[in-house]
Amino acid sequence: MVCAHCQASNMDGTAFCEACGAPMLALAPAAPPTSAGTTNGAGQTIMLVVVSPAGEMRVPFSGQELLCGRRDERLRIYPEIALDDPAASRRHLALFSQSGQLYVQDLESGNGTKLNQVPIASGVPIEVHHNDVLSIGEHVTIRVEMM
Amino acid sequence: MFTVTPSQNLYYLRPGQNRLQTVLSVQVDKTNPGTKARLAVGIVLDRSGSMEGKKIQAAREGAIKVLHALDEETTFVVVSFNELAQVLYGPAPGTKEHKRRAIAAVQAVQAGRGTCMSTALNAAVDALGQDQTRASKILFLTDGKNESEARQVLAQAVQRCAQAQISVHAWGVGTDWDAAELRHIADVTYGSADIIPTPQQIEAAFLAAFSQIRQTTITNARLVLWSPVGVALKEMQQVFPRIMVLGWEQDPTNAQQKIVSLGTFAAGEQRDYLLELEVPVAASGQQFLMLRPGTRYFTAGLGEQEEKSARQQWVFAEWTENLALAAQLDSQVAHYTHQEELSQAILAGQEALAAGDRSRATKLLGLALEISQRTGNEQMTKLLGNLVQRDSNGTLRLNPEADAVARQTLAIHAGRTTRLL
Repeated sequence: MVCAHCQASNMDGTAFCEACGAPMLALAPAAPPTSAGTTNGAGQTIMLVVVSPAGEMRVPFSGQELLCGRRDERLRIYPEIALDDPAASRRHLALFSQSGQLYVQDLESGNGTKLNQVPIASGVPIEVHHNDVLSIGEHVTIRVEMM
Repeated sequence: MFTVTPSQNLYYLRPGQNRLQTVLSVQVDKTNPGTKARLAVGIVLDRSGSMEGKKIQAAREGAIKVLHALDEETTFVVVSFNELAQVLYGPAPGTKEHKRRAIAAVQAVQAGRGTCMSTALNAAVDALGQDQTRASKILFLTDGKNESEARQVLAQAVQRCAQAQISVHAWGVGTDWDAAELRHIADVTYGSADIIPTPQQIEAAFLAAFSQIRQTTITNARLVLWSPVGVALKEMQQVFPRIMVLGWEQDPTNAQQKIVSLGTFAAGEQRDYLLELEVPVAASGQQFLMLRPGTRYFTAGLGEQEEKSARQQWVFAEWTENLALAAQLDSQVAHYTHQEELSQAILAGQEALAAGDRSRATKLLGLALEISQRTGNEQMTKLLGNLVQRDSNGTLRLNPEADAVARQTLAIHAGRTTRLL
């Protein structure tokens, strides 16, 4: 049997491809992963301005989901945006794009996240806009710039 | 024999999302517990100068009680240590004659000089060796810090125990020991660490631990984790009954499998493990098998065993444009993430307290108390309540009456978790 997704050969009767994990059913080859690219739906470039006691850092949003949190060598947790703040969780929040819009989702962090000084519900994706400011822990803010 | 259950079978991921976390619960069948494992037991007693008096007397009595409880199938060794280790007796089977001679040797132990824990652990490993057909355990008692040698030397001895699959059950008697040191010994060897506040409680602690050790039915248990090409295991830690970071090895027989050592299990015992996988992003609307767990282990009745899992024990992922579906959080992953935060807040709070930064300690221990209350960790709530309290205005304050026992009990128990009901 040949996997329709990755074209790997599998033994007859295999339920899921032993190479890629796709079901061994007739299916069309998968389309390449979708990506919002570097711009939002309005064609604007998205920049995340992270301000902490260590200084200011500008992180371009590439369309790939970004994890923000406290880096932990012991647990091998390396967020794309590492926050040097003891009140930040290791997996504090995620920034991601959907249908050309940028969203933030608090990942049930210990101390929560504020959007423009207002606490946001944990686990719920919330759309963010130009000049919105996310507050994390005691010292860190992330300002969204869409240009 | 084993049941491995993921917290969810199917995870919905957002387009572009390349991480997946799941909790695997591993439980030994209660109704088919199997034959109890043969034991190899090391009794290791601190005989440094600070043990002089009631502590060394109680340690001798506790060790003698355990020796009386050994059966002829059990191999044992007794070691005492200060700056040097002395094998008092063994290795020998637990026959009447061997036990009588060992008891006589224990009765002659006197306290004096410093503390080098590595000497004792190395002597015990040398005596017990490695035998996957037995559950090998060390009962380790100390009353102080490992002050007479470098930390690295102890770490090497602890690693030798782990490599020989010997679990160390470590106790600090009194309050002058280092919780981080004992927790390290326990974590690396899949053992345990606890406080014995007074010498009078040594005997009960030893006997309770030995009774629990006797329930061991499975030795050299391993999780076998299969994943498709391109899926990487990024992190794995035990999250119940306490938090421990785990390592893994590549399975030499299958490039897509990782092997994770779990130590020994007793009948009915359950542990939970949090895993993070990095997965190759695929298009929406297609399910992919991401994790197929299995187990390998050794039992006295059946020898080396391997168990595969059924489809309902596998983990799948599907990317979706449905934001609400992808936003759903796994309640068990969220629960254990909070338990990890709790553990870290306690440790950081204790560090601040030790450094004299009472303001930071109050803040961090207060945060820990809030998390433990919110997540229903009653044991930690009780222990934290001994250290921090709210005054009539609702302001958190350090309890001025908290004693060293309260601080050390919290320090050694940091990382103990509750299950999500």
